[in-house]
Parts: sequence; C-alpha cells; structure tokens
Amino acid sequence: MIPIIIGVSIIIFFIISLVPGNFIDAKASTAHMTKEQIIHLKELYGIDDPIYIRYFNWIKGAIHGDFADSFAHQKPVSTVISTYVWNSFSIAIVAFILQLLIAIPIGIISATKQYSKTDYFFTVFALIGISLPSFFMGYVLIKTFAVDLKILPLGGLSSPGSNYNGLEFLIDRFRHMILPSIVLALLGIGSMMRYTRTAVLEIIKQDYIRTARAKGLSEKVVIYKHALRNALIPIVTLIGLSLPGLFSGAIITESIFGIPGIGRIALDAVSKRDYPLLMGFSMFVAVLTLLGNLLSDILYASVDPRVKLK
Amino acid sequence: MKKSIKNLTIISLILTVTCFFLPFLTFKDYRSISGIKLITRIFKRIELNKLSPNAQNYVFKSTSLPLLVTFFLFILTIGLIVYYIIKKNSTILATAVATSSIATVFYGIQLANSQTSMADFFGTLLITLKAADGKMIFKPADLYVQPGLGARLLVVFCFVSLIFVIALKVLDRVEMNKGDNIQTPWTMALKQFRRNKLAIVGIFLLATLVIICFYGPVFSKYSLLKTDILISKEKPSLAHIFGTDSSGRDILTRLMYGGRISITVGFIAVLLEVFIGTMVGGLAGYYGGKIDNMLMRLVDIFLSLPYLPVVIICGAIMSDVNIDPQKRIYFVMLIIGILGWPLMARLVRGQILTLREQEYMIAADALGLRDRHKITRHLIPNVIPNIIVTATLGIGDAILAESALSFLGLGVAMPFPSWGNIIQAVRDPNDFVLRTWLWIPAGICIFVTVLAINFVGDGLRDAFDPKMKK
Repeated sequence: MIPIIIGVSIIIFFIISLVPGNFIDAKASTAHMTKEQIIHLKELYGIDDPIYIRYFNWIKGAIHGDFADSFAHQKPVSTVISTYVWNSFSIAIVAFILQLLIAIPIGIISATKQYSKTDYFFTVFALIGISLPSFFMGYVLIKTFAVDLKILPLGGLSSPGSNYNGLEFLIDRFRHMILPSIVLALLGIGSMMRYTRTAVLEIIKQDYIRTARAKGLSEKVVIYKHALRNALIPIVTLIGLSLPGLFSGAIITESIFGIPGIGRIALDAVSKRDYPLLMGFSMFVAVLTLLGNLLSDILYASVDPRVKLK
Repeated sequence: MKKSIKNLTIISLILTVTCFFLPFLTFKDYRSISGIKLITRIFKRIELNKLSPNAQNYVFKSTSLPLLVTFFLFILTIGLIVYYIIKKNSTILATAVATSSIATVFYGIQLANSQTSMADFFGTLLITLKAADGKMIFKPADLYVQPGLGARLLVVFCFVSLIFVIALKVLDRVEMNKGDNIQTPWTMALKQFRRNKLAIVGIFLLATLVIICFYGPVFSKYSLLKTDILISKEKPSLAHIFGTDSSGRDILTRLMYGGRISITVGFIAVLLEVFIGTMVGGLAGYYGGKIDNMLMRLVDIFLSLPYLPVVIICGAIMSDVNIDPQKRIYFVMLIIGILGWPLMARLVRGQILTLREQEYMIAADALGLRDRHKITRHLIPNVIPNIIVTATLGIGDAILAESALSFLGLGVAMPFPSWGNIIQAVRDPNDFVLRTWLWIPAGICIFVTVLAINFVGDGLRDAFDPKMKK
C-alpha cells in the first residue's frame, strides 16, 4: 500500500506543479504588495525551489502529519479538510443509506424475475440513474422543487440568517439535504442494483438452489434464506469498498447545491491555485480509495468462510 | 427480385461514388491542381481554393486529413465495385457499401465544416466562366445557391444503397437458413443481442443521434461560430427551433456540432483506453513474473488516482497554458483516455491469466507456435467480447466525464460547443430560471446518448455472457 501511496503522491505532485502561475502572483495582482513582500512570501512558501526539493519537503512534512498550510484558508490543510469533511459525510451517508435501501431490494426482485416486465422496468430505472449527468440532474431538481414549486431550499446547508436551535435546526438541515442526497443516491443506485442483480443471478444458477427447490421449499425460503445469504457476500464487500469514499466529497454535486463540503473546497482550491490544499485533498481521496480496497478485502475474507487467509 | 436489387445497389453505389468524386475531378481543370498536388497540399493543410471574391466561400476550408481519408475511401470503393463487377460476391458488395458509407460520413463533415456545398462549388465555378470579351457570363446574383444541397443528394444516394445492401443481406440470410446453420460464438451472441429489446432501442437511438449530429449541420442554414448579438437569447421559434444562445447563435446547430464533439471525444478517449489497456494488460498477463508485477503496480497507482480531482486539475492547467480551443478538444480526449486505461488493463490481464491455463493454450504450446501468434490468434480473440462490453460502457462514462469537465469550464472551450459547455448557460441565474431552452436540451442530449450507450453495453454484456442465457 505504501509504495502505491508514494507513487500516487509523485504523480499528483507532478501534475499540480505543471500549473503555471502561483498563489502569490495571483494575490499580488489583486492586493497591493511591494516587490520585496512578494519575494519574501515566495521564499517563505518555497515556490521557486526546483520540483524535487519541493516534493521532498512536502513528503517530509506529510510523514509527520503536517500537510503544509492552505494558501487560501491560512490554516493547516489537515484542519481545513477535517472542518469541511463532515458536511460532505453527512450528505454522503444519507445518500448511501437511501441507495442501499432502494438498490438492493430492486436488484433482488429483478434477478428473481429475470427478463420479466418488472426486470426491464428496474433495469431501465437503474440505467437512467447511471446515465444522468449529475450537474444537469441537480439543476433540474433545483429548478422544479426550489424555483417552481418553492417547497425546498435552493442550496446550502442551513437557511441564511436563521438561528434555529434543536429540533428546528434539524428539520432545516434535513430540508437542505433532501435534493443533494437524491442526486448522489440516484447516481449510485444504478451500479449497485446491477451488481446485486448479477450477484443474485449467479447464486440462483447454483446447484444447491436447485436442491433446495427439489426439497420442496417454498420459493420465498429458497430466495431469501438460501440465495440471498450467499449473494450478500459480494454486496457486503461492495459496501466496504464504498464506505471510505463517503468522506471524499462530491465535487460537482456540492458545488451546484452550494454545500460547504470538501469537494466544493477542492474545486475552489483549483480556481485559487491553492496547491497544498489540492495536494492534501487528492492524497486524502487516494488514501480513502486504498482504504476501501483494504476494507473490502478484509470483509470478503471474514464474511465468506470459503476464503481462508494463509 | 434479388438480381434487380443487386443491380440497383451497384447503380446507386456508382452514382454515390461519382457524386463524391466530381469535385475532386474538377480540381484538375480548376486552376490546374493535379491529383498529386492536391494530396500534398492536403497534407500541408493549405486552404485549397479561395473562390472568387464575390462569393466568399472556400471549397474545402477545414482541416484536410479527413478529406484525404475520404479520398482514399472513394478509390477503395471504386476498386471494390470494379472487382465486384468482375467477380460476383456479396461480401465485396457489402464492403463497398461500408467504405462508401464511411466516406459519406467524412465527406458530410467536411461539407458541413466548410459551410459549403457542391452546389456552391459548381456555382462558383460558373461564376469564373468568362465570355470572350472578359465579361462574366453568370452574375453572382443569378446563382441562387442553397447550401447543403449536394450533401443532401449524397446522403440520399448513400442511404439508398445502404438499404439495398441490407435487403440483399437479409435475402441471403433467408436463403442460407434454408440449409444447415452453423453457430459460431459470435452468431450466438448476435442472436442473444437481438432478443434484447432495450439494446435494439439503444442502437436505434444512438444511430439516430449520430446521424443527426454528424449530418444535421449540413442541413442547417446557421453557422457554428458566427455571432449576432441582436438576436441573442431568443425564444424557440420556427426559425430557431431551440432558440439562440447568449451570442445569438442557433442552439440547435450548436447542439449538433456539440454532439459531434462530445461523441467523438468519448469515442477516441475510449479507443485510447482500449489501446493502452489491452497492451499493458496483455503483456502483464502473458509474461507474468516481474513484468506483471511492475505493470500491475503501475495500474494500482493509476487506479488510486482520484479521477475527478485529477481531471479538473488537468483542465485548469489547460486553461492556464492558454491552449488553442481547437487543440483543447484533443487534450480532453487524451486526459480522459490516460486516466481510464488501468481498468481495461486489469480486465485484460485477469482474462489472459485464466485463458493462459486453458487446454488449447497447452495445445498451442505443443504445436510450437510463436508468442506473437499465440497472443494475437488465441488469446486476444477470446478477450475481445469483454473488451467490447467494457469499452461500450466506457464511452458513456467518457462522455459524462467530458461534459462535467466542460460544464466546469475546464474542458472543451468556447467558441467550440460541447454538450457540457452549452449547459454552462445555467450558471447565469436569470437564464437558469427564465430561459430554460438554453440549457435543458443539451442536458437531455447527454442523458439520451449515455442512456442509449448503456442500453447497448448492457445488451452486449448479456449477449456475450454464457451464464445469462435464457
């Protein structure tokens, strides 16, 4: 895992360093700064050093848990990330639960009724979810529910100027989270439903399901007791794979709904040329991906008794 | 019946090809451009002929590589027809139609890009004709030129021949099925695919969209880049079916051009993915050992790269370096392709690892076949179904990625349209609320295209997977 993290960090660092122009120059063009100040600041941030020295400085800090300071936020990158990540997570987890609650049942139903009208209906539904561009869907939802019908807020996480407490705050928060969660959930339902369908189909074709049917068990018991338990193995590993990703934020959805999440901060960082934050964020996401892989491997070994670790 | 269809096919094919060829042939008389000169000039991308100053048109203005391809395809088609006339064989006829159809696509794009038509071409030729006393015989005002007429004729001819050949193939099939029928894995998959209604719907949707996007501009009387502030943001009307955008350009026309760019970007990016992925995966799977280890670590690293952040950073770099908007399109393809190949590599490697242990590979070993032969003849063909499925679904993903990038203003840049950057109009709060025609059609286009691709990909997966049989 560690060589992969190092490789990823080298590639991202290299790509980011290709960006011409820097934070100091960008700031100097708007705010009034003397030449000495600019040179001093550049020295302070080590902007004019050759790339490999900057990389080693960065990784030296990263090993000690210091990911440098964000230029734009004037705070350590780790602090910035940990401040905003929870907003992203709160929406992602709601979306994820919604996704599980919808995708798994319809996956099972369409597998048990393969090639029926219900199967076609759910398949089309799932494929529609995969095919919708998130930004377009987000805007269409805002247009219909927030602008035309005026029943949900336009965006953000709380009503501006409101000072709610307790229950009122929760309700307000919930109302703000509905649309982004729907967008995120719809994006994921498709693939998860297809995955469930394939998993169940594969199990249904097995010999022991035929045996169970031959024993005269009711179809309900065959599907929900014999088939489903085995089909859950790949589904559980998929859940493990996606759990860490819930923290990584959704760049496009967050920026459309104006949610102060980690994804939106990253997009802002691109426009502000805030390299330390970009670098920290990219590494954060990469580590989460790797964690997801690890988690799914561990889950696979612990859930499936056929897999034995040597 | 069959014979008359065959004859009609050949006639319409010859007509199509001659139609195609006429402008090329006339170049020879027109300011003495010889065939060789034409080709070298095409390579140098010199604008071929600036016609008389009265008619401000270029015959072939746009980039000329496609033109060259078209040129060779015409020659190939003619060769095939001649060969067919000597030796009757339906496969050759089908190939002839295929090459001429591909040529039509290229040619249509050329015509549309140059905003000209064959009628223009001949019209301007007539203008240059002079009487003995040096006066023009035809005045420019006499020549009413309707753009796109020639291209329309071409399309009609080509489609007529295409329909004929399909009819021919169907008749052949009917005849063949009377006798014995041998089932290869491909025909079985095809049969399975045809049974999938969704996939058929997807194919039709996709074909319609591609035809509209690649041919539509030929029929449009509006230009892609010409702006007219006076009619900006007009409501949909009969003249502008989807209205006009902020610079007064016809949205329907921009949607068609945008679709062309979006679809091409998706397709080329995936082609790149397939090429790199198959190569790396094939090498790793076949040779194993150290090579496998090294290549797979590389794949792991690329797989762990956060996709969207990296794409966005690359987009930002392109904006900073001030890449020419036309070249940006190629860079977008490159970025999406380079970030997409690791999945393909992993898939190919996994497949080859299992295939390598099969009995027929031992047989191939025992026969003493060369490595190259074993990989190309025995391993790759067995991986192709998987590659096709993944690649098809990948085109949809690539189109989505491109549209997201362009939407953020980091992908295909103005003045060139792509479906993603047409939706950018939504960022203006007034347009978002009041002028929905500026952004909704583009979103629907992306959605329908990707949906159709997913239908096809899904159908292909079911068709190739023996486990999925009814």
